Amino acid sequence: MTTGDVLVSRQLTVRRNSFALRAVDIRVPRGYVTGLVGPNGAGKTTFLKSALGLLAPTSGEVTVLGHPAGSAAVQDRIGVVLDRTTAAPEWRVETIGRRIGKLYRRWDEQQYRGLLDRFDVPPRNRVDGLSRGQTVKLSIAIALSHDPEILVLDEPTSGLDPVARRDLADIIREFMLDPAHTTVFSTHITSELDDLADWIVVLNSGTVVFDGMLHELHEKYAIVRGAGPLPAAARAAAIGARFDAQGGYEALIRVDDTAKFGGDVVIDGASTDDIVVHFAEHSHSTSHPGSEVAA
Amino acid sequence: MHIILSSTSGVPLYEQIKVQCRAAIHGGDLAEGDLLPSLRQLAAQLRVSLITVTRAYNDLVGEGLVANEHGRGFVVKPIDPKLADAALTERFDRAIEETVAAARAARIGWDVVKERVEQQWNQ
Amino acid sequence: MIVAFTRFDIINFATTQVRRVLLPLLFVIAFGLAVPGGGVPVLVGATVAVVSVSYLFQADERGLLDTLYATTSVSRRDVVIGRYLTIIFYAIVAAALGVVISLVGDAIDHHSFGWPVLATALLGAFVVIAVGVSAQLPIYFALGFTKARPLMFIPILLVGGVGVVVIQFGVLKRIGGDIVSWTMNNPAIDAIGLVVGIALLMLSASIAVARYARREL
Repeated sequence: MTTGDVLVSRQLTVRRNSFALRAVDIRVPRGYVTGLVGPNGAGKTTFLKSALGLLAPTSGEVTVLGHPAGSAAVQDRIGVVLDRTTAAPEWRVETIGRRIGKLYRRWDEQQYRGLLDRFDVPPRNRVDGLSRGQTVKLSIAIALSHDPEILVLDEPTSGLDPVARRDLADIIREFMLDPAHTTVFSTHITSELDDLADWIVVLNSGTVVFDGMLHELHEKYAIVRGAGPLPAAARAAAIGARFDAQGGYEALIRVDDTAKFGGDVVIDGASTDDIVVHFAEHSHSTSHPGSEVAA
Repeated sequence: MHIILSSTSGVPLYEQIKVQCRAAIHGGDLAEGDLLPSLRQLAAQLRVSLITVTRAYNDLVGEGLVANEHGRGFVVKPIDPKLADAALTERFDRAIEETVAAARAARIGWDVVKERVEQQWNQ
Repeated sequence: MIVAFTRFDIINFATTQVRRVLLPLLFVIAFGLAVPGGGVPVLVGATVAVVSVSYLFQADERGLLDTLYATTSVSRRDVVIGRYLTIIFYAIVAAALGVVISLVGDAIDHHSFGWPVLATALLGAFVVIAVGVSAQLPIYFALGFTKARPLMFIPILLVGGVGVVVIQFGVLKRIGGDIVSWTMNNPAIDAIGLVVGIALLMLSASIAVARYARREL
């Protein structure tokens, strides 16, 4: 845990009926954009909600800017955008600042109005009269208007068209021009990470599969395709292997394990999608043996 | 300095940034003592991650082309004229290769090529 | 941040649920003019305020406002205390309206029920508010509107039912006089009632704070 981390979880475990997060250690470094990626149910939202103090851990802890997650001391230093709008449907957009501004220590009403204008959120509309894209932009306008250091976004692009997604990315980039600012967002659309994220955390079934710089992820893993059969010595190295009817296979592997597969295979770069999918497939088949998917 | 990135060329983005910065320095677009755009500004402008720009800039520092000065940013170092010449000569050679290939593809003969080069030279 | 939250809460209630704020107050007025009976409108005011508690929590749930509050500088504890203050404020407004209407009713009828009746009614209103608020808020804060609502149905019906019966069958008219003299002649009892009421509210608030602190938002 270096002083450069704004958000740190230590052995964070969250259990509802099953384990949503299992003893995860995650750190979010200051000044960078961190992307949290993984399939649905991987624990991304659970992690973010724990970091925001919206739910209490079963065990372990999360600290934000040196304070326990959820402390009133840090909450308004975090700008929050969740995938559902936290505003009453009847509220008129232009009145929201006047309503909730005093609930924050530093609310800038002028900035709020300015952002609404820039993001083209119609000020006289009611919250329930906004499109999906407009509600996300409204949430961001609110989040940015109380001078946060950290921006946390949970699946912000779900339901957004490509133009709105591009706008959102630009807004985040502008926020990141200040080196004291940090952004962490979760997504299951991995292509968004490539342009935006500096640091990436891959979650699968409540555990961290990878945690580091995005390009390191791609340098660490590769895709192997072979006509088969899968060499016995290589079985353990194959992550989320998929087989076809002729015994051919495709799997994710660590680049270090390439030699185990012999010479008669094709090695390809692994995209972030490949990595997420294969890890998901891997944990699924290890809990349901014999169900490996036909490639 | 205008950097234009291609997402489909197969060349990593940080590599492309490096190449174009290098060309700008060797070609004289950036003079000794000039500042490169700040990391964050360039990342926002090119719509790439901060790490990508950081890698490119760090590599340029490693090559001795720029220096990271505290408080100022990335500053262009004195340009080694031999290196600059070599880079520019390479650019010239590549242009020649492309010209010849283009001429052949268009079935343009040597005489016409000579003529056109002279025309361009005299402009 | 308690004051900031209470101010927000009251304004939010008044501006987004105008009907639910005004209709009960109108009811107090209408009741007071239609059924003159000394300080009864004060009790009615207290009762409608107690019944209105659910609307505040319903609005929170609809707008996911609990989550919003949790991301501001207002601590969960301040939200709870602020909400108590909001309701007490509304109850005071309703009871005060009841007092005014009682006096108006008195004037119209050329009766003078006198201050003892009003004082007793105010004490009764305080008891209603203390009990009604103390009972409901910890449950709403612990469970949220939707899960708490089924549990609320019965006590509200009970209180409302008792209220209706009492008034319909003129129970108050018969024993009202006795109650008034009893409270007026026993200031010690009155003081104890006030203290118990306040203690109840404080106990209730601390339970609500504890339950709300653990709720997932």
